[in-house]
Amino acid sequence: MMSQSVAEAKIYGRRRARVLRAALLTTAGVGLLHVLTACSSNQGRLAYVATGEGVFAFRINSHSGAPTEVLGSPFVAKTSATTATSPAGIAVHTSDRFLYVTNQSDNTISKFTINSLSGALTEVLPRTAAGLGPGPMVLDASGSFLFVGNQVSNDVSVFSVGTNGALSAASTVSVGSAPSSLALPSSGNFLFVAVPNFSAIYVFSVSSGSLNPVNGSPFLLSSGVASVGVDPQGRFLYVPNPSQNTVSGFAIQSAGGLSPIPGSPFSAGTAPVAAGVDPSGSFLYVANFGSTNLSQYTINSSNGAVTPITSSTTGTAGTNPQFLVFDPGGKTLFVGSVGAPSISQLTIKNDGSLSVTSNTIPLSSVPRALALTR
Amino acid sequence: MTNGRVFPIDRKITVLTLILAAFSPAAAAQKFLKLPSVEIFGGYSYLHFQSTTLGFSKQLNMSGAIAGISIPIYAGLGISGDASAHYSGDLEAYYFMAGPQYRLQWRALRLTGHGLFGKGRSRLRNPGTTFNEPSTLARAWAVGGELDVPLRERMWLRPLEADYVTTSAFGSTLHNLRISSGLIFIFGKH
Repeated sequence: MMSQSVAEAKIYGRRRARVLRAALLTTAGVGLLHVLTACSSNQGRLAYVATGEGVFAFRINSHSGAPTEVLGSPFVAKTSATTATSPAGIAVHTSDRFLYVTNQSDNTISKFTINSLSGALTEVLPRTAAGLGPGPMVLDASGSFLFVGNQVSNDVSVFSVGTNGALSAASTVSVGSAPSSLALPSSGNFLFVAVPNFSAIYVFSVSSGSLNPVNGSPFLLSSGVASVGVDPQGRFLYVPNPSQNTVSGFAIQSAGGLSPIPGSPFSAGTAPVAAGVDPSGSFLYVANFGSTNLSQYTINSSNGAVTPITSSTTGTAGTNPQFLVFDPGGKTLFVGSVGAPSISQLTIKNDGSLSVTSNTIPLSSVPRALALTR
Repeated sequence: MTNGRVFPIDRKITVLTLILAAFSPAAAAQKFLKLPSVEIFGGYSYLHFQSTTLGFSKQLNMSGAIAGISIPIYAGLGISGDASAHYSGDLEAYYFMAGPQYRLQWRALRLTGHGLFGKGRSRLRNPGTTFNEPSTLARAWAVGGELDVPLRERMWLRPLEADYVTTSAFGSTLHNLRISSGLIFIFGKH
């Protein structure tokens, strides 16, 4: 009897040991999977492209730069069950939690929440009323104010941004004709507005969401204006002159006035339409719509004069480049092309020269603006 | 001394035996096939989902449940099928697959390998504001195996089933890993 109980105890003991071993094996397997998960994540930033079809979303691989379209893209603000609004401008909030899009077909601004895991966008209704024909937009560095250029009502609207991303109208100023682009240095103390019809640059001082024209504004250029590009430190402003195939440079005075940089205007390609200064403030790039390439320059940090880099132009993957956007790290330049709709990615080398990568994003619709998460 | 007629007679007997075997499937079945027992499996299932291919910032770790059936047919050969469902906050994945299995017995343990074919459905739970359909149904296949240990005569524990699951979803091919664990109940002849 005694020996039978001992035998049974041994049997059960062996079974328990087997079960324990199996459980340990399972735990080890799941742990290994979690390690694999950590190694295989793609923490790349998100790129959102405004087009007439909606907002296309891509995850940009942080190592290779390869784009992966986000599931559900394009995301749309709808005017009916099957019709998208006509997105024109786009901006990602500094928190990376919200995305704003100007809707030209219904004169509103859509707020989307960003799903950080999937990259999906969900519109939060109701939309915020803007001026007529809202187009370009820019957020200040703190994410407190959003500036919107209205291309039919010919003014600039300012919205304060709440903690939940909600927009509240703060002020509006007229610029007389359609603003094509807005630029705000990281200090956020001046807003620069390009108005091509007047060949003018409007400069406003910014204070708690109110805009006041600085002395001398608007500044008129005889050579024409396409857009504005400001260096992040707020020292220099560059203006492409499409009719002259040049780019004008200005030093920004402490009160916001503009004075020409020595040697300005500088030679560019055919029909330059966009200018951008890299986040370090060392290099200037100009998109030449007509010659389908980019002019590249080094910036003299003392006076803003620019010198073409040895290989002065670089082609883009698309045709007719329209706008330039830098990744926040300053390593990649994104170029929106409208001829063959696409977003090209170019690597910024240490000397400022550009090299085309194979990570082009082809689009089925013309890109109007691009915004990146941080 | 060997009779020269012996060999031809043996050959005839061999041929006759083969013919009888070939034309006696019922007898062959009785000899080789086991009467089926049915094993029902159910338990927890974990899916490591290759979601970065779909633009996610990281791979998803999804939890869910699995139910399966396997029927031994001949020696270690059998057929098996399963259905599993997995969930995360942003995605759902379902698999319905069946295929052959081969089982080895080692002491009290059973090791089984299988190849499964069927369908997989992937569904985005938070698709955002989009016109696109947030769900796809596409082919799926899996290779894997399981380890079983006995608890009682008709109840076994499956501490580990691991499957490499490949499926198409939203136009991309995904390579996932499924880990399952649960109990097996045996019905019929055992």
